[in-house]
Amino acid sequence: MKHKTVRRKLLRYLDNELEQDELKSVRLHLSSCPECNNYLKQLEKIWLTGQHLSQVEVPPFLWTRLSVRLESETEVPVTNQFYAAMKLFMKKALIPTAIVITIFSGILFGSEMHKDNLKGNRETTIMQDFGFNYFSLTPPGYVGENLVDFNATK
Amino acid sequence: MEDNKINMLGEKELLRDLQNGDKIVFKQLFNSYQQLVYNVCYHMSNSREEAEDITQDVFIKVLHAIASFKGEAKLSTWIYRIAVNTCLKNESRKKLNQLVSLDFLLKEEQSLHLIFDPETPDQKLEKSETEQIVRYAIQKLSARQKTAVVLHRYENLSYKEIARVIGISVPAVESLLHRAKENLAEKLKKILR
Repeated sequence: MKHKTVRRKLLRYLDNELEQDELKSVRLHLSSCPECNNYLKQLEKIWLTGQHLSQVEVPPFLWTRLSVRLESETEVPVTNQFYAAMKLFMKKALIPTAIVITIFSGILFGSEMHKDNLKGNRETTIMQDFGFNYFSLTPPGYVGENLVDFNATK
Repeated sequence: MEDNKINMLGEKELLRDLQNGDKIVFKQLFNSYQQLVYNVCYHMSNSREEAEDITQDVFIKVLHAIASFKGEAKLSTWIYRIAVNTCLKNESRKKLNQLVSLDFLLKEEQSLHLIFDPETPDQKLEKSETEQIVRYAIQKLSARQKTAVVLHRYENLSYKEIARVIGISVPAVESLLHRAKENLAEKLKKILR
């Protein structure tokens, strides 16, 4: 058996939880391996001493602190049944309503934006298809530019 | 004394009084189970301050949930279950907080310093130091394995009782503890090296 395999089993060995065949092989390895024996001693020391320290002293005034918390956390009783029903309704209905409103307003806003985009696109494609953009008032470098210059020199 | 009172009253009567909101009986219940709850919380969190806060949370939960307790399990098992669940919830909340802050680096450093502090000549200190090594290694186990080890090692619960608290079968507890102890041995090997 390898050192690593044996060392993984040592805690269960200390707690007497190994099966018979596992126990035999671990004992066999321990009888011939001083390193693992030394490790077992270290492990035994830290594993078994701790078991006696399991009880921890409860801090004083724990009850006092708890009762203060309990008093502060006690809700004011709701006397009005209508108010209680409204409160419950608001709790149950408010969040889903807010979500629905947000989704619908998002859809509306999005569709409006889409409409605007379509309208703009349609106008530009018509302009391009019919070559209207060449007939704008101030085209860059229009055809009669040279003629104007010729007239001026004349 | 309080234990006797609870035994004398019997669990059914105690439950009836608790469900009716009897504060005196709740205090008796607190006195009887505070040690058990604080112990579990301390070994699960490895911090006295946190254990105190979680213990309070546990008893508040007990008070609020007592009406839903049907008496199918033992009262102590039910309280153990609430304690363990509260500890695990607290731990996951802590991990989430650590994700957004870097405080854990400092704490990690402090805990390592505590473990490897060489100047502890007093035997009592040495004992607590060695125990701190084990506790540190236990904290590094997964939530389920840690719960099983704490209940087995510190609370001396039987496999059957652990199975009831965690809500799994007895063979599952056996294999959980088996894996937990192998992992623990592995972690201790790294520390002892």
